[in-house]
Amino acid sequence: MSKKQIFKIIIFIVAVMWLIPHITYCIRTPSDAKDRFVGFYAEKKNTIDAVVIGSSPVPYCIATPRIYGDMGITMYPLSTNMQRPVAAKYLVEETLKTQDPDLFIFEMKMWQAEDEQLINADKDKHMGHTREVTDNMKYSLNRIRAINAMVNEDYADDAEDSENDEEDAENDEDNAENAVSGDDGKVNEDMKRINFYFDIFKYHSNWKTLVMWSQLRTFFYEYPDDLKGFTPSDEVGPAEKGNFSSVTGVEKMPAEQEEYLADLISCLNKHNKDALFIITPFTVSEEEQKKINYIGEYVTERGYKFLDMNKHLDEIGFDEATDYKDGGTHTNIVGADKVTVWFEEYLSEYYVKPGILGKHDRRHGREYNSWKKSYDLWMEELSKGEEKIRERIANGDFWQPEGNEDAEE
Amino acid sequence: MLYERFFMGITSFYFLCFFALVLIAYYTIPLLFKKRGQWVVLLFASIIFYLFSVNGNYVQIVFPLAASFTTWGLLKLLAGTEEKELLKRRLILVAELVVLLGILIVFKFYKFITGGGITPPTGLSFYTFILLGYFIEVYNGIGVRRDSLLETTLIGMFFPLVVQGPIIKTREHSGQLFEYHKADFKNLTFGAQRMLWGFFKMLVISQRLHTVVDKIYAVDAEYTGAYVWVGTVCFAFELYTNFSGGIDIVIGLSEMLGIILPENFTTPFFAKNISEYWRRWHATLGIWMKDNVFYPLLRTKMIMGLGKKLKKVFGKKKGKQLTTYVAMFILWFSVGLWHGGKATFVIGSGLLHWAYIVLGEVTLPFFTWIFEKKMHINLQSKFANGFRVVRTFFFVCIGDLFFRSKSIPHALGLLKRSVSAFNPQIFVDGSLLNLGLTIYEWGVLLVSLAVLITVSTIQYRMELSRDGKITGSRFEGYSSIREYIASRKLVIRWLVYFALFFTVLLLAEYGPGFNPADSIYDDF
Repeated sequence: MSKKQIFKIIIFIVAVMWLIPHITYCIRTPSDAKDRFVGFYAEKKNTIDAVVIGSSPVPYCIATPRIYGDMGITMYPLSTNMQRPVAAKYLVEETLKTQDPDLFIFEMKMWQAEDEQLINADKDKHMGHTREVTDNMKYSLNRIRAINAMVNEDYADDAEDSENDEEDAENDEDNAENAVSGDDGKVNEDMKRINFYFDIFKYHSNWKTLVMWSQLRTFFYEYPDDLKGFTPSDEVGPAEKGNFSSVTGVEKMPAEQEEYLADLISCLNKHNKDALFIITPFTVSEEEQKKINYIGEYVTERGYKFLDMNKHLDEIGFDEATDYKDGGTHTNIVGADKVTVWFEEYLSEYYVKPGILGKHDRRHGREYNSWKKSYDLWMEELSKGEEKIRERIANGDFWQPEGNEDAEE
Repeated sequence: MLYERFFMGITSFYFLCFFALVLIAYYTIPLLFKKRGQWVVLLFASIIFYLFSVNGNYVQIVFPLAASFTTWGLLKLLAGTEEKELLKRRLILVAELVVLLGILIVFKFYKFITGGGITPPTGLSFYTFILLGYFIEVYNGIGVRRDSLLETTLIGMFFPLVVQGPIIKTREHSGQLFEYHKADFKNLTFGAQRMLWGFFKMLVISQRLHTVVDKIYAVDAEYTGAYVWVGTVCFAFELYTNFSGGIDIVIGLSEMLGIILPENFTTPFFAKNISEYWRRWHATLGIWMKDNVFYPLLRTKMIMGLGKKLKKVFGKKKGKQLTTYVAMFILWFSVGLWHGGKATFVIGSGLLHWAYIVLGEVTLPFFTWIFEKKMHINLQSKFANGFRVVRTFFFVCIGDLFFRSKSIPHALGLLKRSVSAFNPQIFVDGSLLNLGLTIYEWGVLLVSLAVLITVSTIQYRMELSRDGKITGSRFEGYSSIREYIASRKLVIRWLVYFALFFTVLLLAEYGPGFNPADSIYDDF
């Protein structure tokens, strides 16, 4: 083979290898989370002041365009549905590749749940929630590390093993096999890391979506998000008034989540980053509240602030009957507005005044035009949302639990 | 389990990774050993591949190893005999036949008689036939014996061939396994393109057809009329794209190794009669069967004796013809049996085709008289040839209907239902969308089939052009479409390659949530 021929082969392979990830970006299933991540990657280098990492309440509850408009602070959520705490560290690393935020904000609702419980819930969804994190990241070593941490091919075997300690080894093996295998006896493809590393194996069947501009524009996985990661909702799903937020008892958080938390804190220390740990409004149970109290103590002892918004619902002016979109898990746009306004005051008191946040007023300068537009759009959405919500309340048009995807949390 | 995680079906990701490593080792390691030992890389690769293809039944490797050892040992014994020691030589031949065919018959015939029971080891039919063919060639003095056991093992287990053929004539092709091959641009690129085309056939077309066929051929399904014909035509194409696609991959990856294998499929649906169809469909099996079953059978005392008797009763010409038909019956029975130990295989891919050929020959004078003398049809016209192609395809479809059915009563039931209703409206009223494919999937399938038929037509015209039957074709002078594309401008040809690559990557049916149909010929 001549040098020219070798060169041709190499060029061809390189071109194919370059195209595969970009085409994969385009055919990843369209979703709010995808838009949010694509939007995050589109933000100009070192222009984000704070990043919020957490599960689905975040994008419904923290109106980032409003914070920008009111305070000149750019805040962006890297949140996904039922985000497993193990992901947090990798999202911090992902953030630091392009941004240098003054503050990381961690929403902690999922941290009181056992990881195994979260995985089991996820398995029914073909690991869709785990994939929302891994498959919304750009290809990189950090993504591989995140997959290695979040997807354990032996998980099913381990889970079964732990349940069957008393039983004999033979039974154990049988159970483990059933756990990894589906009804047809084949290995559970959803749990294979290879299908995460090369997510085109899963998403190639989305080829039909390639005619959509909203998909094609993600070729480089960078396209600004109109509302900067915020998801408006005009639904109304009342929750019962009063919950267990006043409980003061403490119960240990799951051991593996505590390990992840320790790991996260050392990661923050390594990068010399400040963090705020929060709980956004949701209908909390007694057991959950005790674990949340434990988490609060844990982070406070380590020098971080902890904000449990459930304990401040009255100050926020939050009305459980009208401000939730789905019966006590996610807020609607009116609830989001109330929470955001109150949160702005909190940030101002504890982070802006001490000079941690808001070092630059980002409301000036052309590079923030997209943020200005997002604020205008937010105001528009808020006004439409308020009207719609009033209408729904007047008509008794409330959210019904059956078949509502967001009710899962 | 290791085999579950890294199972290497020929279209799997792990197989491609494995092959990439083999390719690198194949072209680099021998450079360290003065260009020797390339075949050792192949042998190692073949053993590893086999172990990862047997779904955890690792013990299955005993069968190809034992078959190779037997063949090697008996050939060594044979080499120690004199030409005159006929009895001794025949005993050695019988021993080879008993051991190799014995295993094959136990697995296939047992299943045929009892209707189930034992699953044959992966690739049994293929390595058995290759090794038997090799033995018989050496026995007849037309093949070269390999002294080394390891070399014999490679002949039997060469990884591209062991799962689904083609069944090579060792005297023509196996020599390449032991020669040194330099990395060659044309072999590498053409081989990769051939593989890609195989993936397109198997994963884009065959898998979608499989969905439709599975619905219509389900035992409890009650489809009638046009549905049955849709299912049957779809199955004819499924079988073709699955098997020939697999062979394209095998031939392509062998080509990348510098090893040129014989063609197994040459546009079979363009055949004008059943005999021609079998020269174009799974050609290497037909050649093997003729060389090692049919011709030796004609020379047996039994058939020769029968021939004499029949000649006495029916005259020389008819007696000879009838004798041939009897031998052909055994040949086609064997072909059917080779495909699997089920009556549906024996009929669908064997005896029915024997009946087609015999009836075709017997009725040829009558039909020629009718069409030519009475209806004044020019039998050499394009129309007549077109009719022959359609007729042959129809007969093949009937055979395939048996081949695909669960049982003979199931096949007969389908045939009965195929004419029990007149429902062409299913092609326009959306009924076909209830067969497991969405409108988009049907769109992909039909466009892909159109591409396949276009490519096949070009290949057929290239063949006619080579044979001097047509002139002035745009493809004249090119031996393959790949060669034609390679002669185009870089932009054009790269566009074609990229288009095919990404078509396969995006439109192929694979990945999590998808349960692939096994390669239909893997069990044979």
